[in-house]
Amino acid sequence: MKTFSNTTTLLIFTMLLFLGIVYKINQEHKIPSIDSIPLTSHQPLTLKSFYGKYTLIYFGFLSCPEVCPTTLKKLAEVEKKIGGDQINIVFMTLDPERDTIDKMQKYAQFFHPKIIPVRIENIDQQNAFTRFFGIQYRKIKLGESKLEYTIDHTTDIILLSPKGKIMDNLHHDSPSSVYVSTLQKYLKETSQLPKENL
Amino acid sequence: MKTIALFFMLYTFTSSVFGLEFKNFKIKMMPPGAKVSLIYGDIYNQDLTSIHLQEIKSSIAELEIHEMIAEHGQMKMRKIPSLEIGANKTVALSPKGLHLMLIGLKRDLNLNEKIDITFKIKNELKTISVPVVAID
Repeated sequence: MKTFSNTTTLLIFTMLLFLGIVYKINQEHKIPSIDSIPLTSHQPLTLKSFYGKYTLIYFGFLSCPEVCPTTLKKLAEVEKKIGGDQINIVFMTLDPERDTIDKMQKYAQFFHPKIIPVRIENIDQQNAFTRFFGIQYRKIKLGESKLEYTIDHTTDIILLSPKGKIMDNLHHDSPSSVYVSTLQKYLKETSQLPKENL
Repeated sequence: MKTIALFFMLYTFTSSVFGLEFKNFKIKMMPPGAKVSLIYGDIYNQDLTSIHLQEIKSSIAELEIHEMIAEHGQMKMRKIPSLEIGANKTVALSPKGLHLMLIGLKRDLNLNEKIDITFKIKNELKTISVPVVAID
């Protein structure tokens, strides 16, 4: 009887240990809802922080020599044209390994002080976040290049409604006037809606 | 006076060596802290044989030949080991295609400053002075 009791105790202990490990692994890999994923900026943010205004999100990285700086320049033109604190412009890095928030802040400010740089520290959360917006990206090693690696990435700009709904994918190659007219159309429609429907 | 100014401009931005002519070369201005930039322009090979462009140097950063590829809504960039310029052909280096990459910039670029770029071809060196221009 005593032997049986010891075996049972050992079995229960093993099971609890196993469940504890499974729980811990689950917790570590648990992805919060998209609008609760922590975004690192000069202050802690989530997607919810941008609700209440239309938001343009662009995904890029600082070692990108062409599309990223050119797109940020156009987004700065949008901010200047729309003005009046009516929109958010968010620049999220796909290369958190190299792009610190201080570097991103300095980079974004060159274009416009209102561009908000963000990064996601957890790779699983970053993958879930980008997947949600239909952004594909891949780290590619560049053989014998001093750059070491680059990031292939979708270059669309995502337009979110004040409630965080995806309204449009804007092509990076369009002139900034297209972004401005798209936003003005949405802003006009929104201004005619009762506030609870925003 | 206008003719002299035009001649001076052409002299500044056009340079030829080993039958190669470098035209309209520009460096893209980048934000502070950026470690990369790109160089574009046209290279015309006036020779009767093709030339391989491989070794390019600058004191401000490492230089490599890269190519930008737009594919399935994604932008990709790859290193090209060397660039062949056929006899009597022009290769256009552009921000969205083949270009020269400045990697590991040692300092921030200043708008309108000129950066010396040296090409080594057939054991000869040719340095051209390339202006830094604003992001289009």
